[in-house]
Amino acid sequence: MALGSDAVFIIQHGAKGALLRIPATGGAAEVLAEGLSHPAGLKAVGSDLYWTETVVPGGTSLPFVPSSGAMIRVMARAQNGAARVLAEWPGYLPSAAASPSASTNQDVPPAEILATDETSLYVRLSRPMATEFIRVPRAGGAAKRIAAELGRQHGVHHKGRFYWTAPSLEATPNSGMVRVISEGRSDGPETVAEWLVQGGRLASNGDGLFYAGDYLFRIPNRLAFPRRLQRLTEPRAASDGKRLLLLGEGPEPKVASGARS
Amino acid sequence: MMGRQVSPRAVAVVTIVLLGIIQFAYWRLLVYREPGPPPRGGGGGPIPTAPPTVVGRTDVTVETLAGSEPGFQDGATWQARFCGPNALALAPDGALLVSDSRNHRIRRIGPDGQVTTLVGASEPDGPGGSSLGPAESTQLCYPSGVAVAPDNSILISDTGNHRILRLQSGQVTLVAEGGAGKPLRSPGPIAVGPVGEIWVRQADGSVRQVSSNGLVVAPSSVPPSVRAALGEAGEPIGAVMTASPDGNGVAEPTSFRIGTRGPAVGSGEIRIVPDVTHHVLLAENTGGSLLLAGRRTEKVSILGMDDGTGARASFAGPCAALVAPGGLAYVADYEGHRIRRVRLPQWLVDGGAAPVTGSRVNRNMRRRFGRNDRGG
Repeated sequence: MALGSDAVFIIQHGAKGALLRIPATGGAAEVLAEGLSHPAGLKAVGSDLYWTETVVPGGTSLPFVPSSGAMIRVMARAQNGAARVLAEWPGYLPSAAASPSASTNQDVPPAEILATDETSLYVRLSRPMATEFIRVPRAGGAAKRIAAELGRQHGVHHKGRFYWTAPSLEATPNSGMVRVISEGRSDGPETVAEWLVQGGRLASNGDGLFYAGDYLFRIPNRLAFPRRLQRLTEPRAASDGKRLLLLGEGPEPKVASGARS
Repeated sequence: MMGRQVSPRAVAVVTIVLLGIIQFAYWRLLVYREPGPPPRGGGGGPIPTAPPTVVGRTDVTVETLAGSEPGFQDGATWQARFCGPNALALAPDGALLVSDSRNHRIRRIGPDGQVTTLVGASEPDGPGGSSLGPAESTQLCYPSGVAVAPDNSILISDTGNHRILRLQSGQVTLVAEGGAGKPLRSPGPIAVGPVGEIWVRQADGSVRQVSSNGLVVAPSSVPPSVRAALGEAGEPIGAVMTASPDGNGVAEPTSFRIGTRGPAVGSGEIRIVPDVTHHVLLAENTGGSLLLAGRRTEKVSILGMDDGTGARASFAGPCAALVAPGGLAYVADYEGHRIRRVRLPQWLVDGGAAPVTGSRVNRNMRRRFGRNDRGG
C-alpha cells in the first residue's frame, strides 16, 4: 500500500496482480493496471508510483539462465498513466514444480522497493540464499548492485545514505548476530553497529536510525555501541519519515517513545 | 584471644562460588538476551531451515574450488569471484571453463589454480553487451553454456544475445544467430555430439541443432546422451534411490521426485547430475539414481554452501556438473557464486570410468544401497 496526496494505492499480489487506486475521500477502487506479474513493493513519490514485478519470459523459468529465467522489473507509472520499465535485474522465483523449499519465505516478496530519494530507488531482492540490494535510477537506466548479503536482510535510506544489515563479522557465523553497514562514504561501505540480534528491521524517522529487533536500538553514524532504548515484544517497526512506529506492541501502531534525540 | 581458624580451602571454595554467582548474575542481567522471534517481513536474519531427513554420502567430499561473495575478480582460486556461474566445460589442457553468466564472461580455472578471463568485456553484473572480435574485447550478455569442440575451439551460448559463438585463436566469431521469430532463442546449455554437431537447449526447454554453417533446426529426435548432457527441464522421472539419513547409505532407501536436472557429463554409464529443483547432486545410471551430496527433507530442500562430506555439504543452486579425470566432479553453484569440487568414491569412479556392463553397475548399486526404488 502507498499513500498519495489524494488517494491510497494498493497492490494486489499474485501471478496476475493489479494496481488499484482508492480516493482519499472514499469511493470505489479504480483499477489502474492489471495482469501484473507478482507485483510488490509499491511506493508513491509525489505523483509517481513505483513497484516491482517478477516476470518469467516464455513461461518456463530456468533459474540459472538469468536472461530468460525470472527477471525483476522495476516499474514506474507517471501521473498521466503511462507505465514504463525502469530497470531489469536477474531475479529468482521458485518454480511451481519445486517443492516448497527453504528459500520460499512467504513473508518476503521476490523484490520490493525499500526506499527512495531524489534520484534513486533502493530495491531489495530475495534470492534463495542471500539478499541483494540494488539502486535503480528513477529516471531509468542501468541498475547497480549495492551489496549482496547472506540470509534475509533489511535496509533503509537515512540522511542521504543507504544502510543495510548483514551477518556479523565479529560473532561466530551461527551466532545469529547481525551488523549494520552504511554506504556512501568515500572509503566504501562501513560497519556502524555490530552484535545485534538477528530478526529485526531498520527504520528511520528522518532524525535517527533505528534497529527494531529484540530491543529497539538507536544506530550511531559511526562505528559505536548502539544505544538500547526499549524492549520489544515483536521486532517490527515502520516509519512514515517523521515518526517511528512500533508494530505488534498493541492493537494499534505505537509511536516509539524516546526515539527522538 | 585467638580467632577461629578458617580453613583456606573453605575460603577458596566460597570465593569461587561467589565469583561464579557474580559472573552468572552479570551474564544473565547484562549480556543474555532471549532468542528473538523468527524474522518477519525479511528483517536481518537467516534463511529458515529444517533438519534434514535425507542426506548424501559420507564417502563423497565437497569443497569450494573457487568463488565466495558475488563479484568479479581474477587471480588465485581463493581470491577469485564469480557472479552466477552456470555452465562448465573441461578444456583439453585440463583447465575448467566456466560460464560466469552475470559477469558476462567465460572464465578459465587453470590447473595451476589461477582464474583468468577468457572472453568478455561487458561491465560485470551489468546489463551485458553485444560485439565480436578479439576475445578480450568481445561483449557477451548472460552466457549460459560453454563446450569444447573437436577442433579444440570453444563454443559459447551467448544467451541474452540469442547467438552461438566460437572462440578460436583468440578471436570470437559468430556460429549462429537467432532472436524473436527465429529458430534460435535464448540458447542455454550447449553440447557437441558424436560427429561434431552442436546441440543447445533453449530456455523454454526445447532443443536445437546447429550445423557448422550456422543453420539452426528443430530436430525430430535428440539422442539420449545429448539430452542428458543438456539437462532436462520439467519433471522427467520419478523416484530416486538414496542414501540414509546418517549418510552411510545402507539404511532404507527413500524416494522423492526428481526435479529439473541440470546439464551433466558423465563417463561410462554413471552420470553426475545436479538436481536444480532440489539442490542436490545425484549419480544416475540406467538402474536408478543415488543421492551423492546435499541435504533435504521429504518436502524441503536445505540450501547452503557448506563444504564437507556429502552428508554435510549443501548447495545454493547447483545447475551444471562435470566429471573430470582423477575421481573428481565439478559443480557450478549459481546462487552460491562458487565452483564446487566433488571427490567421488573409488567404487563410483571404477564403475563409471570403465566401460562396464549395466548389470555390473546395477549390482554394485543394489549391493551397496539396497533395492532399486525407481518408478514411484
